[in-house]
Amino acid sequence: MHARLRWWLIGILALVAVAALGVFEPIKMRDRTDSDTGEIVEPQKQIGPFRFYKPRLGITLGLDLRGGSHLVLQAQSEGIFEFAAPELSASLTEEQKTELHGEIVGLLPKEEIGTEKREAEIQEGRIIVRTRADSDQEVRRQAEAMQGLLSERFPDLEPKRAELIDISRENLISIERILQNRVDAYGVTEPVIQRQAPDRIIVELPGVKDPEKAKELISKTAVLEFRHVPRKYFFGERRPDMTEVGSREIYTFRDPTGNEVPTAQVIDESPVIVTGRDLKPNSRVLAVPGRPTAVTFEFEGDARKVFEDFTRGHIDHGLAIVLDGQMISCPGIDETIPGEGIIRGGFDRPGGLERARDLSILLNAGALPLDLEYIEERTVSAQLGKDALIKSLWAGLIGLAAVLVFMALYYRLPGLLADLALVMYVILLMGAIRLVNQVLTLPGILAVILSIGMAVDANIIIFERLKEEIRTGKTMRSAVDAAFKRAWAAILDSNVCSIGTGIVLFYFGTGPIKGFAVALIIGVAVSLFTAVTVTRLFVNMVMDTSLARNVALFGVSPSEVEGA
Amino acid sequence: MVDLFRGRKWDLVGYRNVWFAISLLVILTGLYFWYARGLNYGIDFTGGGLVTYRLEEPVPPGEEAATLARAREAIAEAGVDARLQMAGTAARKDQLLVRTRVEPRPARDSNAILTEQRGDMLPHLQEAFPGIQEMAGEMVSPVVSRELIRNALYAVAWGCLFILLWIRMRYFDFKWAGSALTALVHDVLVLVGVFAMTQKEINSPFVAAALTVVGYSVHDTIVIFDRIRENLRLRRGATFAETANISLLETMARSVNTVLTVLLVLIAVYLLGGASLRNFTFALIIGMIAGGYSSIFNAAQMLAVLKRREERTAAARRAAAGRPARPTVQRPMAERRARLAPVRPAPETVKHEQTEEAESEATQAEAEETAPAAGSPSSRKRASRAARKKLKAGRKRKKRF
Repeated sequence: MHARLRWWLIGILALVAVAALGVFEPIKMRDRTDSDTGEIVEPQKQIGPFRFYKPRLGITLGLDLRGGSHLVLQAQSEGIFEFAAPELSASLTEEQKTELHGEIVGLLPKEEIGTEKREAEIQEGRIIVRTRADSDQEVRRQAEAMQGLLSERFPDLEPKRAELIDISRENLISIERILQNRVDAYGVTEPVIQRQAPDRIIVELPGVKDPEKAKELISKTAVLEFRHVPRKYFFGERRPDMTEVGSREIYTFRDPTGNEVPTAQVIDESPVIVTGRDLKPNSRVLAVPGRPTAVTFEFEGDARKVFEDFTRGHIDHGLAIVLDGQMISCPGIDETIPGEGIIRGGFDRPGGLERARDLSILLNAGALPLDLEYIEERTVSAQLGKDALIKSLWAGLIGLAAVLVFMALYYRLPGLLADLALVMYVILLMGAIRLVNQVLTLPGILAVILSIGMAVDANIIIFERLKEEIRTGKTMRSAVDAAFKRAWAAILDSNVCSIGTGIVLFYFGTGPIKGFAVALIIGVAVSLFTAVTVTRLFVNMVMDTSLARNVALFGVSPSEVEGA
Repeated sequence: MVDLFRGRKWDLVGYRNVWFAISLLVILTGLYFWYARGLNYGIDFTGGGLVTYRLEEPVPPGEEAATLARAREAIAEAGVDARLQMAGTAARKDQLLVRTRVEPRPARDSNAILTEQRGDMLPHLQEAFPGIQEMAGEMVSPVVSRELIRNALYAVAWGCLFILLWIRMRYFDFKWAGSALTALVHDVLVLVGVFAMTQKEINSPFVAAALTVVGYSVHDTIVIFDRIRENLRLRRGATFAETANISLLETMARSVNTVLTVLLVLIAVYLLGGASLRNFTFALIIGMIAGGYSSIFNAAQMLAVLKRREERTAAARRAAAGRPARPTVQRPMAERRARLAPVRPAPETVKHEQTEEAESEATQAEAEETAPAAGSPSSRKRASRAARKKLKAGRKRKKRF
């Protein structure tokens, strides 16, 4: 065999071997993690830096094969309306306020306003109403409707503000962060949380056991509370121990006898002073060199006074900041805080800046009254996924076998060569998918199988051409050359179109369809490679042997050849 | 194995009206069904919910209707309005699909409503079918489904545009691209028509299948066009229609085989793969068949029609200028058929083990053979110049492995 051919052969075999290793991972240099539990798996044998494992499918599987939930949440923009109502200037008791709330909401029926969400708030001389609205148009319409409906009860009503609160990028980041918080607490391996501008977040929970509960947990409105920690747990020098875990702070409280008390219990015993609804979503991190890093916060409305009074009377006590039942911070109260202040002290150790930022985002998120609504949900049980995976893999194998047999029967010797190339193609294809870390979905598997059927096409074009060239009476070699050369133009053009539609599909498709498109594009690209490289290599290898002289092996009967 | 298409003298281009008629018939039938029955849009395009339940015991073939009736009762008891369907493999129907609707406007709270419905349905279904389990659930809010529809239409439009431009770039003029496009449109219409007839569900995967079929059908068509282009260079004297026909016959084996291999894998998946892929695979199968048909029987023929007009005007101009006429399109059928057999160079000048010089003689002879009616010496010179260029190019490329 030519030296050159030999090198090509070695090169291609090496490539196939690498692909196979990458896909099945029988030998690794690093630890293997179990895809379901995330834990490290023990190797079966270890020789130096090489760990040996049982082969497995190293390609990440999509949710429709693994089981789990794919959820898309949309943050709802709201309309905020302010009316001046002089009748309400007198200070009202809490009970009176609550009654008025109910009355006002009753005056704004859902059918007239157009949304389920109608919330009213009474402040000195003002009525503040919050609704769900999607556009400025809708806000105007709602304002008009409200004006009409409320002015009967409050004749001196005057509209002061009607605004659409959209989801800003910062808000979306805050929401994303808060969801991360919740999903972490839920304990799902490899969850995916992804922002999708302008107002959506994608949450993927592989292998979640109770999707309904998870959905509830994830989408409920954030509850941020500032609670007063009882003296027995926090006073002056007596403070909880704080450990940093990642960007979180974990507090360990002890009772006066020194026994550890669960944080949940502490929270339970701590009454709420003010909530996140009273907080302005403008918390920032102050990081000035030479001064301690701090997180700012600011209350609004009546809460300012409430907070001031509270802090005045409780210096050296602990203020627990609780978000969704999780304690995110527990600073001590140093002085009277007139409605706006800073939290500092724990952020100067390593990683402190991260924690400060985190806290700031969480405060802002907790201050957001934004609702989250599910707009898309796809849940597949693990069993159904596994079922589908096994069935489709079998189907693929049988389809592949059928093609292999067909090619061998129809094209004889070149057919066998194409079969060999096809098997290598499949391995290289899987390797390519592994390389780009593409998640394999069920349509993706279909795309792979389809690509197998289509990859053969390039070979068929070449071989049909080869038959023709042989018939014209050329030598084997020149026939082969001519065949490959001429066939290439057709192959290139046609595959470019396949790739083109694949790209269009990728751009406009969602989820599983994107997986289909990527797999298809990779399939076509790799098939271009193998058809011209691998097949050609094999054919040229055969050229060197005596088999080349027998045209019958190529599907041409000698009588057809011109001049024989 | 025997090469089935070798040496056949079929007149594929001449009978184009027959093929067009067949295509038209199929498309019109499909359109009729679209009009009469509408399309069965899935939740991706209508919004709503789809829950898949697995029954403990698969339902034997005869009892499907009874099972569905029982399920319908149970769901009605739960106060939910839904459409039901059985699914599974042909032998083993153990899946119940329940489709719930949601009001498109306002598009809010749809998930909450659907989740509630789901919760309501389960206990009633469990009563009717002990052991029934929820396997999968899908919910698409109208907000999302509107987007999916829009994206689907854009995708198809852009796909076709890309193909149009690409073919135009690689081939001579818009006639080629346009003919390819008609083949594509034919494929999509057939696909939609079949789905209207069978009332199978149309979802995002359907659109993906349609686009894949489009990409693949054009792939097919291009191979044929490429051969036509090559033959046009070699055979100067023949009419376009004749060249096209020869090209079709020459590529027939490849076209059929490729469709065959693709169908082999797809049918394997259709029969053996899971229920969730079945609609998708079905769409691909229909599309591939339609694509194969349109590439062989529609694309080149359409191009022939367009070229014929071109040839006619060229001939008229020639006549007006007083120049000798080129072979016109009017030929008696018998003569046309005689010319349709694929032509190969004269046997006397070619040997099996030939040297390069003999090869060049062959190509020259070939070039001259195929320009019999070219009256002027200039065209013959052109032909041999072309042949010599080809040879030189071939010689340069011989140095590869």
